[in-house]
Order: sequence, then C-alpha cells, then structure tokens
Amino acid sequence: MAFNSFQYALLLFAVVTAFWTLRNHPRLRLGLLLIASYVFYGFWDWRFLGLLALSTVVDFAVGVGLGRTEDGSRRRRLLVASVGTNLGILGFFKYFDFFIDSFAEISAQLGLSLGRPVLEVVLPVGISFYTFQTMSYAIDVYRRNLEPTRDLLAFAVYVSFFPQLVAGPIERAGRLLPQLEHPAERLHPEDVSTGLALITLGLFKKVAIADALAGYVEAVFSAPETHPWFLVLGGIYAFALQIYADFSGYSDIARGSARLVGVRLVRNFEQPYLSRNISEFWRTWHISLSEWLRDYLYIPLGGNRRGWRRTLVNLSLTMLLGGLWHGAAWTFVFWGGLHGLYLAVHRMWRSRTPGADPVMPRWRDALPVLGTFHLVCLGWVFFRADGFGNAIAVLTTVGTFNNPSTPVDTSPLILLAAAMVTMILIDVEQRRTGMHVPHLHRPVLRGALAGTAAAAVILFAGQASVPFLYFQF
Amino acid sequence: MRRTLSTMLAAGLVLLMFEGVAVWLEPRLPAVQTWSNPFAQAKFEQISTMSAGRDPDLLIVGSSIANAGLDARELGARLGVEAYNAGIPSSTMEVWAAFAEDAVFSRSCPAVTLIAIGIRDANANLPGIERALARYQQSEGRRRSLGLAGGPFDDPFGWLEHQAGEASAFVRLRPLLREPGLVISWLQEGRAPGWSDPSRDLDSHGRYLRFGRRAFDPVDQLAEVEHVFADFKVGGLQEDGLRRLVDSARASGGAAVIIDMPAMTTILVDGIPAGEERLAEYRTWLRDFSTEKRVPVLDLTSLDDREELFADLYHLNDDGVAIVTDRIADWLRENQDAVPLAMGAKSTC
Repeated sequence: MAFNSFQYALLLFAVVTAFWTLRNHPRLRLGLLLIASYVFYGFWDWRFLGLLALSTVVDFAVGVGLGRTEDGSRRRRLLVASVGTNLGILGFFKYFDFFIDSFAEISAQLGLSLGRPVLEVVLPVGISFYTFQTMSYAIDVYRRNLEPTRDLLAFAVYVSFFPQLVAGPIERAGRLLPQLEHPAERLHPEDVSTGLALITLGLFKKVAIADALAGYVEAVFSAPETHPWFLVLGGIYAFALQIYADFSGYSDIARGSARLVGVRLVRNFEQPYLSRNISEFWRTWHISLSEWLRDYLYIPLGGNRRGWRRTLVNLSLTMLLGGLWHGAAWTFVFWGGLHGLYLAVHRMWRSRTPGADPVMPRWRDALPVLGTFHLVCLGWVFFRADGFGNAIAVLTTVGTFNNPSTPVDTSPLILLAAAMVTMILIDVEQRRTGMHVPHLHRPVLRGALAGTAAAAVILFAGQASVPFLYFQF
Repeated sequence: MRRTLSTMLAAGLVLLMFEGVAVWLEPRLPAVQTWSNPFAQAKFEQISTMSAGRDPDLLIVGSSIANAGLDARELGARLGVEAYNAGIPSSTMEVWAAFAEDAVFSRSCPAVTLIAIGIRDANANLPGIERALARYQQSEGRRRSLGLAGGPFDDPFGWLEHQAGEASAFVRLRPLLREPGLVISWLQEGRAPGWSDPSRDLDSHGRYLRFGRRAFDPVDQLAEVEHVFADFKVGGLQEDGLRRLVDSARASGGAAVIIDMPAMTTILVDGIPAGEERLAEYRTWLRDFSTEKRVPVLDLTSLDDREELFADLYHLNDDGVAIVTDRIADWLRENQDAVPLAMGAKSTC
C-alpha cells in the first residue's frame, strides 16, 4: 500500500479515528496499530509478514535474555543471534542472487565453469529498514544504553509501525518505544495541523515534483546517447531532485501520519542540497541511516580515534557498506565508495578548517554549495544507472557535449526549472525558519502558496503511479 | 478567523486563476487522448453526434489506407445513400472489428460494409499486435463512452476523477498541461511532437484529408517498408479480426465486401522487404479467405504502381481517391445481386 494511494488515505483515516476513540484502552490502541501495520505491509505481499514476525520475536527474546544475564560471553552469543538472524534475512533476500551472480561471473572470467543456482529471490519491501531498526535495539540493549522492554506488543509495533515501516526513518527504540508504551492521552491541535501539513507537503513533493520528473529521468537514462548533452545534464539534475523530493516526501508523509497518532518520528532530511561540503550533506541527507552507520559501524570500527589513516579507511568502509545497503549492485557499491572518497578528502581538508553545523548559506557560500551539489550529482549518475556502461554513457554524453543541435522538446526543461525553484523555495524557507513545514506569516501569501501547491498536486496526480524509490532498498 | 478566511480566499483565487487559463486554452489545444487511438476517439465522437437520419447505409472499415483512400461522402452521393468512413490508422483488423461494433453495429445496421485491405494491413507479425485489441478495449475513453467504466462503488477514485474532469477544464486538460513545452509549441505552430488532433483533418464523413495532393516520394518510405515487412506472415490475429468483422457485418443484417486496395508494389519489390513471394502469399490468403467466407472481393490492384495516384507507398492522393471511388461505385451498381446497396437498400435493424 503506497502513501499516495486511495487505500492509504482510507486506512489512515480509519486508524486515526479508532486510535483516539480507544484513548482509555492503551493495549487495544497498540493492538490496533499492530493490525494496521500488518495490513499495510500485507498489501504488498502477505507472505513476508512471517519475516517481520520472526525479526520481532528474535530481537524481543534477545532483549529479554540480555536483561537477565550479566555473563559477558552469554551476552555476546545473544547479540550474535540477533545480528546473525537479521543479517541472515537481509543477506539471503537481498544479496543472495547478487553474490552468486558476481561469483559466477568472476569464475567465468577465470575460465572456470561453475553452476549457478537460480533462486530468483524476491526482495521483501522495506527489509533493509526494519532489520536495521531491530538490530539497533539489540545492540543498544547489549551496550546497556537501553533497558530491554518486556512488552512484546509494544515491541512488535516498534518494529512494524506502519508510517515508517518500508522506507524509514530508521527509528531508535530509545525514542520510539516510550512513545508507544505511553501513548498521548489526547490529540493536540498542533499535532493535527502539523501532521496534515506534513502529509500535504510530502504528497506535493512526491506527486508534483518527483513523479513529474520521473518520465524525463527515465527517458534520459534509458538512452543517453540519443539526447543532446544539455538535456542529459538536465536529466541528472532532475534525478537529484526526483530522489530528494520522493524520499523526503515519503519521510514527510511518514512523520505526518505518525503525528496524527501522537508519535513524533525523527527528521530524516534537513535541506541537504544547501550543504556547503560533503560532511554537511551526510549530516542532512537520510539522517537516520547516516546516524545508524555512524553509531553501529563507523564508531565500532574505531571512528576517528586511531589516527587519520585508520579514519579514512573507516570512512571508506562505512560508505562502501552504506552503498551496498542501498541495493545489490556494484553501481551502489561504487556510489558508496565515491562518497567515502569525498568524505575522506574532506576529512583531510577539514583537519585544517573547522566543521560547522547546517546554517543558512550566504551568497559567498554559493560556490561551495554548487560544488557539493555537483559532486553529489556525479554520485547519483551511478546510483540511478542500470550499470556502469549506462553511467559512463550518461557522463560521456555530457562530458563531450554530444548532439548539441538535436531538436528537443523543451517541456522537461521547463518542468525541471519549475521543480528546482519550488524545492529551493521550500528548503530555504525551512532552513530560515527552522520549521518542519514552510511557515508563512502573511495569510495571502500562505493562501497563494497553498493554492499553487493544490493546483500542482491536481495537475500531476492520476498519472501512472510511480512507486516510491526507496521501497526497493 | 479572519486570517484563515483570507488564506482560503487567496488559495481559492489561485485555483480559479488556473481554471480560467485552462478554460481559455481548451478550444486552442487538441482533445486529450483518452482512447488508445486518436482516430477512434475522433470518429466515435463524430458518429455519436450525427443526427439519427445519418446512420450509415454504407460503412467503410480499414486502416490508414481506407481512412485516407476512400471518399465516403462522394460514394454516398453517387449511390444515393448515407456512407461513413470508419477506417482507423495504425490499428489491426481486430481493432477495426471492435471499433465497427462499438461505434456502428451497436446502434445501426449498414446494408453494406466495405473492408478495405492492402498488403500492409495483412501482416500478423506486427510488433505488439497481440496487445492491440486489449489496449483498445481497456482504454479509459472507450470504457467511459460505452458506459463500461466503474461507478462510484466499483472504482471510486476513477469515478471521482472523471466527475472532477466533467466539472473542471483544469482537471480535464491535465495530460496536456503537464507538457508546457508542447502547449507552447501547439499554440505557436499548430503542432507538437506526439500530439495530434484528427478531428481537424476529417471531413464530415470520416475521411482523412491530409494526404490530399501530396506528391509521391519513394525515398522517404523505405524505412517504413522495412519495419512493416521485417517479419511478414499472413493469417493469425489479423485473420481472426477479419473473420469477426465479416460476421459482425452479416449479423447486423448487411453484406460484407472486401476491397483489395492498390499499392506501389514495384517499389516494395525493389525495396526488397515485400518481395514477389510475399505478394503471392498475401493474394493467396485473401483469395482463400474470401472463398471460405463467401465474401466478394473487389480487386483494385490493377491500379498498382501508378505513381501519380499515390501520396506514398500505400496511401492514395486525391487523384487516386477519385479513380477508386469511380471503380467502387461502378462495381456496386454492377453487383446488385450480391450487394443490394445500388438498389437503394437502406440501413435497417
């Protein structure tokens, strides 16, 4: 069930209504959220509900076990059971075919003809998100950063909470579990207004920007050689906007939906394309994943505590695995490696210049912001391409200024310009006010913006539905 | 409260402004394509708005070859009957049959149905042929026009969208407005890549007029020939469609006649892709089919290869249309036993 579907609107309405009707029955409320979450997930493929339940039961039991023992080796074994189960599920469903194919290709190149088992494993939606979420719980309990919960129902909702189940944000149990165990007793008007505003903003980003650009991006990436270079360059920018509007739009709808049942999810994006360097980009892009990788991979590897050489290795390794997390393809690994390289270079540079938290860029920051954006765009080419050949074809077409005089339809470029201006306005306003949604004080201006947003949603809604991009991860 | 009202008023005004622009644009842009084939959409609309007395006694079906090459108005005038050209370009015989049933046989009973076929129409291995009928039948516009689309309970979202489209030009025009570059191009030059407005180019009896006086130029056509004849085979789904068409024409109480349309066969042969072998295969198939189904065939292939009659390899220009019209009118008069039209038979159900 996608957020931009009629079914989801009905489900959300029914859940929110029932949730606040049951305000004196906290267990029933949790039961309601669990059923809604399993229905939501089962709409894609009910067969994979078993995996969700398995991950839930294993990590709950591991948590209980960790709470009962102080024996170090027993605690380690329990942690291994949790990590092994989750990585086992992830590895089989997401990476089995990838590694078998890669192994077979390497064998063939070495002249060995090895049989290739064909399983064609189906990738369950959102598996990367919920396995990371449950693993973080077990690791936090193991590290004694978190008291294990003894409430299986609340834990099951934590693992499967429908607004963030299939594409994040990846929530930490320390933040989300207490909100589920002690739900709000009354619905605050601010929760309603912010929730609805976030859902509207998310739908606008998804339908009017991401989906509107999807056709242009597909046309350019499916046959880059046949297009003039400037249209291909525009296609790269369009994908940068598409993936941002799509994923941040999803996160906005997730946060807005959760807010309607009194739950506050973490912010997953903080205007990443306004970043002045690549470190800032990763502090503002897919924040919940960046923080997960930092806390559970980069720091355990040693972080920046073991000298600059080891720091660079740790950064690169973390980003390579981050790339692989996004998809079972070497182009994703390359994308992660490229960002690891960016971060390593920036790290060396930054040792001489202090880092800074995201602030509103000034005019003098234009060059660093544009430079960072273009470095990110270079990475997006590999992220979006069907393979290295496709990525090279895209870059070659742009780099050699290919087909400059081919007649073109200017529609996509007009759309791209409109989408770019709109996203810049939204981001600048959010960065300026620090608000979750653009907050304009003048009613006429606010009304004009709402009217334009509504017109854009009407204009682009009803096309063939484009799935949210991050579902595949 | 005042601030909320001001916000809502401003939002409403902006939406009204968008609606105003759409209302202004609508007559200046082509119709939004809701059928799988724009000609089917335009002709269905044309037939639906005809007065009851204009139900066709003589129906012409076929592809672009019929669409441009048969002058229903002139033919009807010569024979003293109502005639309509229901040819649908870029379609298969299954689609010809389905469209004839949807637009004509479901509401009237032509005395004669002329099925115009050329070698180009007979290829059963056209890419995508197996999906052509389903695409036609499932298109939203057709389902709406025939009352087959879901209601508020079967398909609430689709129904709501349709109702909104009925009420608002902005909603109706969305597929066009999503392409602002093409809108500008259409307003400035009257054309845009991928957009068409067949209703501008049809006469009142369904004939497509654009080929008109176009001069024949063989060089432009060779790529098209290679595409059509790359994998040539007669029969298959095309024959199924033809069979269904003949049966439907007869089921509505009329007679079916096949017209074997002329083409520039020497160019086809010289251009290699068609070849004598394929021409022979096509003619044998057509003869066998007409024998089996007892359908008379009016053979116009004696006009093959007369360059001055053609706009391109298959489509007749005005001179070609005039000669063909003469031949058909004469043939119908001479074959009154098989085809009662010349005796003044009218559409009756």
